[in-house]
Order: sequence, then C-alpha cells, then structure tokens
Amino acid sequence: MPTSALPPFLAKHRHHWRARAHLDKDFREIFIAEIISMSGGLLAGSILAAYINQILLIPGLLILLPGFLEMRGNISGSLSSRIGTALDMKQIPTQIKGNKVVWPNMLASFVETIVVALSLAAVAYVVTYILFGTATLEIFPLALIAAVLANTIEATLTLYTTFWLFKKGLDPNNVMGPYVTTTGDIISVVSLLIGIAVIAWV
Amino acid sequence: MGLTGKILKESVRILIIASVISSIGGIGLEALKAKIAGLIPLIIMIPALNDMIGDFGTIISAKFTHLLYQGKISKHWWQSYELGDQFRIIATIALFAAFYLGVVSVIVAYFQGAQINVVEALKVIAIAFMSTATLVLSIFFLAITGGIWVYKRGKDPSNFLIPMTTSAADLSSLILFALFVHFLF
Repeated sequence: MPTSALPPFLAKHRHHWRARAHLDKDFREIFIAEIISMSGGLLAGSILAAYINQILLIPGLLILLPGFLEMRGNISGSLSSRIGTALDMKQIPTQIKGNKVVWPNMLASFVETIVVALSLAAVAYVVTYILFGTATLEIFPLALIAAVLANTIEATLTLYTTFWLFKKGLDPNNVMGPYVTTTGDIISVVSLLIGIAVIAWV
Repeated sequence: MGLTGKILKESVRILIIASVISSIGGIGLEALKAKIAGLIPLIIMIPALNDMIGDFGTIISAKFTHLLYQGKISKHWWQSYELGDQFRIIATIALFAAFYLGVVSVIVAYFQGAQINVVEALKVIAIAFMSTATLVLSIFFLAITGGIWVYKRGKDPSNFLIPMTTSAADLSSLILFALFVHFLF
C-alpha cells in the first residue's frame, strides 16, 4: 500500500512503515541469496561425502580443500568482475570471438590457478609433515590436475555467463558473485575427485 | 607489461594469502579426520558452512559501512536503531540458515545410507547453530569496532572491512567447527 494513500490517523506511522518495508525487502533478498548459495554448498558437500574414503587416502587433502574452494571463487569472481566492468564501461566489444581483452584475462586466470594451487599444496604438505608426519608428494600433482581442470570449466562458464548476462541487460556484477561461489564449490569438489582418480590410475 | 602481466602482478599475492588463510582452518579438519569421516552429515555441511560465514562477513561489513556513511552510527553505536534492525535481520537469517544447514545435512546423509541416531542428528544441528551464532556475533562485533576505528582515521571502511571479516570468517569457521565436533562427538 503506498504510504501517500494512508488515512490521516495512520499517516504519522508512514516513516516506520517505509523502514519496515525496506527491512522486509532486505530480509527477503539476503535470505533467498543465502539459501541458494547454501544449497550449492550442500550439493558440493554431498558429493564430497559420497567419496570420503578416497579423499581420506591422501594426507593433507582436508587442509587443501578449504583454500581450494576459496581460490575458485576468488579467481572466477575477479575474472567476472574485470570483464563485467569493461563491458559496462564499453571498453570492450560484446562478442567473445576476436576480443583482445578476453584471452589475456583467461591466461591470467590459468597462471593464477596454477600458482595458488601449488602454494596450497606446499602448505598442505608442510603442515601435514610437521603436525601429522604422514605427508605425500602426490598432493602436488593432485592439486595441479584438479585446479587446471576446475579452471578450464569454471573460467569458460564464467566468461560465457558474464557476456550472456550483459547482453540480456543485467549487471553481471550483481549476479556473478553468488553464481561463481556456488558453481565453484561443486566444480572444485568434482575436479578434486577426478584428480584423485587420475593419481590412483597413474 | 601486457594485460596478463598486470593482472598477475596485482592479484597473485592476495590470492595466495586469502587461499592459505582458508587452508589454515582445514588443519582442524585434518586433525579430526577419523572422527569426521564417520559422521557424514558433518562432511556434507563443511563447504556450505564455510560459504555461509564468508557471505555473512561480506553482508555485515557492507551494511555497517553504509550506515557509517549515512551518519547513523554514533559513538554509542549500541543505541543505534538502524544497527539494531540490521542485527535482528542478519541474526534471524543466520539462525534460519543454520537450521536449514543442519537439517538438510542430516537428511542427505540419511539418504546416502549413513547410520545416524536421533542424538547424533541433534548434535549435528546444534553444531550448525553454535558455529553460526558464535561466528555471526563475532563478525558483527569485529565489523563494528574495526569499522569505527578505520572511519575515525579518515579511511574508507569498504576497503578494509570485507577482507578483514571474510578472512576472519574463513580462518575461524572451520577451527570452531572442529572444536565443537571434538567436544560433542
């Protein structure tokens, strides 16, 4: 109900009602975004739980895991933010093909992924060795394979979704944050499991 | 320097720091891996819990910075109605979210064939509640004290609060989770 249409005896409460409506809108927006984000996290956790015995075979993998999930969201979030801002400011064309900004950004995301994954593997290896005395060098190829695979899928998905959202008239910066963290969790966990399978097979 | 080099120069260091901080929280999980492996709902909960606390860090920081710039936070910040409203909204959502997290983790674990009794299910839900409540309260306090401190020194809290609260959330959420698991199971 618009507050201007309120009867006089209720008009004195209009500021309170406006504030109430604003808070209700805040509540709805945060609540819906959080439930969607958590559902993605729960799906990733369900996949993780289904293969927990394989995960426990690699010492240090539970140390690597939180940083690995964080890395995916950070790299893809930054990629989307850079491309989204360049699109919004009309600094780049709206086509991916032949776009001079897209490929340096993709290359940077791959280099970032490799450097961060190896750093995380080093931390997991050293901590596991010092605290638990059960470290294995397999954590390095595993982190590398999983990170490159996850980035190939997630960076491509991020890139195409960012351009698609912009062409649809939406602001990618408002949508891509929760999108990359949710899809990133699922893709990262699946990539880690594929990495474990490759290591076991080799 | 090309665009790739410029991006790498500006981003690699902070990406490594952010990811390594998150991984430190994983030490608690590794230490309790035998215990956690037998409790499937806890494994299901980990990625969502970590995401949720980080999200609340971002939301609380952004909302508090906004109130600071609107001049709605005085020296006696605990008397601010607007801050109270924001706290009530976020606390309510956090408790709903914790309940959703705990219950869905138990249900999914049950359908994955995990053997869970009622007491274990209640403990899992309690861990979701206790971790969320403790961390949301701590992040709120951290955002308020840190935000006012930075604002008084003429700096922009936006550049400071989100990295500070999300890093604190990433670091502490899994350590606290591991502590609760250690004491309850």
